[in-house]
Amino acid sequence: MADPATFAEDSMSLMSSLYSAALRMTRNPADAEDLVQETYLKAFRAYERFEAGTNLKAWMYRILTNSYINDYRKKQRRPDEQDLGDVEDLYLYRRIGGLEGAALGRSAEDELTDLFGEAEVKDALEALPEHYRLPVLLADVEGFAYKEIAEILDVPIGTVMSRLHRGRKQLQKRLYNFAEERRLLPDDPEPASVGADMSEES
Amino acid sequence: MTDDPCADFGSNECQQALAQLYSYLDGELTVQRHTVIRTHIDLCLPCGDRYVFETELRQVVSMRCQDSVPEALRNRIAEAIRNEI
Repeated sequence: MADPATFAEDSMSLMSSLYSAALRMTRNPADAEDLVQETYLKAFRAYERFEAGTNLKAWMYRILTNSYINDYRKKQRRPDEQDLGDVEDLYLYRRIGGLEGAALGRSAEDELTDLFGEAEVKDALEALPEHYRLPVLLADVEGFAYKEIAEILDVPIGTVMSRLHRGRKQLQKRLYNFAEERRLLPDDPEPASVGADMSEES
Repeated sequence: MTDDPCADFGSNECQQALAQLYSYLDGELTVQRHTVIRTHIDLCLPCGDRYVFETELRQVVSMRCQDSVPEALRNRIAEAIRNEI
C-alpha cells in the first residue's frame, strides 16, 4: 500500500496533464483549478488504498473524472455540445491528405501544425459532446489504453472503442470546419475516394 | 485499371488495414495482427500514407492540448496537502 508521506513527491509530476485534462473537461480555468485541487485532496486522503506499483496516473485520472462527473458537470456554465451525427471515416484525410505533397518538402506534420493551432485544437476537442470528449482526451492526448479508459470511465471496452471511433471522426470534422472558417484551405476540395470502410467497431 | 492491388482500396488487405487503423495506432492489436498490418502499410503506399496522416494528426492534437499549471495552483495544492498532514 502506498505511503501518504510520499504522495506529494509521487504525484506532483502528473499535475500538468491533470490540469490540461481538467480544462478540457470543465472548459473553464476557474473550475479546472478547483477540480485539480479537489482531485489531489481526495487522492491524498485515499492514498493508503492505492496499490503501490500500479498505475498512479490512471488512478488519479479516475478520481479526476469521477469528481468532474459528480461535482462539476451539474453546474456546467456551458451546455453540452451537439452530436454531429455520423461523420465519414478518414474525414480530414479525404479533404486535406496529400496537401503536403503540394508544398514540396513539407511533412504532413508541418502542414497539420500550421493548419491547427492551439486554439483550434482545444476548441474542437472541447466542442465534442462529453461522451466522446472524455475517451478521445484520454486516448489521444493522454495515451491511455482501452482497458484503462474503460476503468477510468467505468464503461465496457466495446463502448470505449465505439465512442473513440465516432468521437475521433467528429473531432476531425470540427477541426476541418475551423480551418475552413479561417480560410486556410483551398476552396471546396473534393473529398478523395477511399472506398474501404472502417466498420470494425460496433 | 492498374496492377496496383491497392489502387481502388478494394483489396482485402487494404480493407482490413483500414478497419484496424485505430486499433493499430492505439497499440491494441495482438502481436500477430500488428505484424500483418505493419507489413501491409510498409508495402502499400496509399495505406501507408493514411497511417502517417492519422499518426501525425494525433501528435498535433496531443501537442496542442498541453497547458502549464498556474504557479498559484501548484502552491495552493502543496499547501492544502501540508494542512492535511
